[in-house]
Amino acid sequence: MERQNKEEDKKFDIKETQAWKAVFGDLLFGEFKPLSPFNSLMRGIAKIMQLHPYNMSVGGKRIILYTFCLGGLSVFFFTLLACTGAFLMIYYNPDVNSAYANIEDMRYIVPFGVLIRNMHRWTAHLMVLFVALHMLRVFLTAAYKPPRELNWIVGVILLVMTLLASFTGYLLPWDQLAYWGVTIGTSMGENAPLLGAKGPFAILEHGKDVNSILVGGTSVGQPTLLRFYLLHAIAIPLGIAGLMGFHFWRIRRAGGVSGPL
Amino acid sequence: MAELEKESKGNGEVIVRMSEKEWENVKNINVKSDYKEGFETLTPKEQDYTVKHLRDSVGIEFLAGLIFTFIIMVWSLFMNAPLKELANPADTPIDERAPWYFIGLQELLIFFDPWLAGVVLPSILLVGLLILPFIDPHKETGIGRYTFRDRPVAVSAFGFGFAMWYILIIIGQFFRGPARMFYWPWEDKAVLKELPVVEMVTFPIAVGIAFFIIYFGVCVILPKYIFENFYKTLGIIRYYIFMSLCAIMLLIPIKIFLRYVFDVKYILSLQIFNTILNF
Ligand code: HEM
Repeated sequence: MERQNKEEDKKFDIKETQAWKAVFGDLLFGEFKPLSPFNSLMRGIAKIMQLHPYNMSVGGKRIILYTFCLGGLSVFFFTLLACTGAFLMIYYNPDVNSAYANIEDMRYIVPFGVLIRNMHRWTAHLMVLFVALHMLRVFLTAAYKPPRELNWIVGVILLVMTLLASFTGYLLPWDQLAYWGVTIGTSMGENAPLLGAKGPFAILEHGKDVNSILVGGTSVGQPTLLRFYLLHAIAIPLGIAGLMGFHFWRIRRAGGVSGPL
Repeated sequence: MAELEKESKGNGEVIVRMSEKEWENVKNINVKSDYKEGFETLTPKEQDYTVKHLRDSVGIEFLAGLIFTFIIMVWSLFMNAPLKELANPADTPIDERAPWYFIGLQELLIFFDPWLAGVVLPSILLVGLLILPFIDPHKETGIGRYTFRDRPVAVSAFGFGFAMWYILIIIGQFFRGPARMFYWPWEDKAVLKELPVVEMVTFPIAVGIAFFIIYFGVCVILPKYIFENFYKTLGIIRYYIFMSLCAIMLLIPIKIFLRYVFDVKYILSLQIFNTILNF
């Protein structure tokens, strides 16, 4: 009888194996030790980022089934895009005569160029997708309700800027895909009521309407490439970074992420 | 290591066994008695003890980042980002398409004039999103949890719009071949389809105007009398904004339906001065 009990106690539990503990032990699922270096590091990071409030439900594991990390991953993708983008900037020149060749060089000559370019492109897709999913999660958990209305609005602006960042980047390789994709996209501006040359009640002429501010002329060309490059590599990322900081600060002010409590 | 020793039933006391060192850390903390389950109001010293939470959530975020770094690396190793021939303004490809996140708009272009599909509808969508926190009348319902039952109207309306957006993207991305013609997945996109030669109809002005009057009457005015409680909770301004936004959103599938089933080009074609407005 006693022996049986002992055997039951010894049931195989992967979390008790040395390998598991070595990899995940204190890191993820281990017992809480107030003074372990990892904990102080985590607290330090959290303090610097001002993101995770201290006063939160103990039992953070559940939080993954709440936010699904969608916002956090959007931040992560943004950071990854900034890093890979900085690398791409070294080899890219926003000039219609050389842009395409620069990209080809990246693919065939620059060490790891093709890898970095691919990462930049695929991460951008993921970011657009995850920001949208993050919005869905925020809606479904009613996190836009007081006191978080302002953060919802900031979020919508972030979503638009994320789309614009992707769209302006789309033109930079200066291939057929880029050229015609952007031609379609910017031609929308031409059709704006009042302000577009082809839209209803147009008051501005072709070449002087809102579309031409974006494109820098009557059709997509060198001025467009330069404008899109500056927007893509400087203005929009700075804007997103600034708004993100504000977004996080508002989360803190609201007393942290809305649930689950 | 602090351990829960036992919980006495009557007075809500909790007995905790801990080492002397731990006691040194916590003895000066006066634990507040009124705390919600799993949520404590903490003094600065107690904050140390929420590190467990931080470690869990930051750790999980770290792990999520790691997993996605791996996914992106593998994806990038095996799949190259597209690069076609050098841009050539003189050579319009037959299958020109916007990037996928804008392909929903391009899809709308098939059914609406560009000023509607590319400018007015997206603007309405954006404004709708921005004012959404203010037209939701229930300021506290459902915060912090996933629930459909407590917010059926809000979740249905948003869910409908979100789903429509992605369905349009999927159709635009995977079901459209050359010249934006519809292709089933088993049809070969290399085979050019001929443009169908059907005479598309535009309703006469009177019919068009009547359609919109009746449509908005049914969608916006009528529910006011049927769902009086709903109208009262929303209040007059919120009610009209919300119902108009929903009505406009519903017009998109309605127009698509009319186009495919009855070959309707425009429901209403208005000429104002020298501008033609087609809906
Ligand atoms: C660049 C895009 C964005 C980034 C990087 C970002 C990042 C984050 C992060 C890290 C959080 C913490 C909770 C979580 O991970 O879910 C958060 C929360 C939040 N986000 Fe975003 N977000 C972005 C876009 C948006 C959008 C598009 C919306 C809505 C339209 C939005 C609205 C909110 C709100 C209301 C919260 C508070 C949620 C709560 O307390 O439960 N954000 N965001």
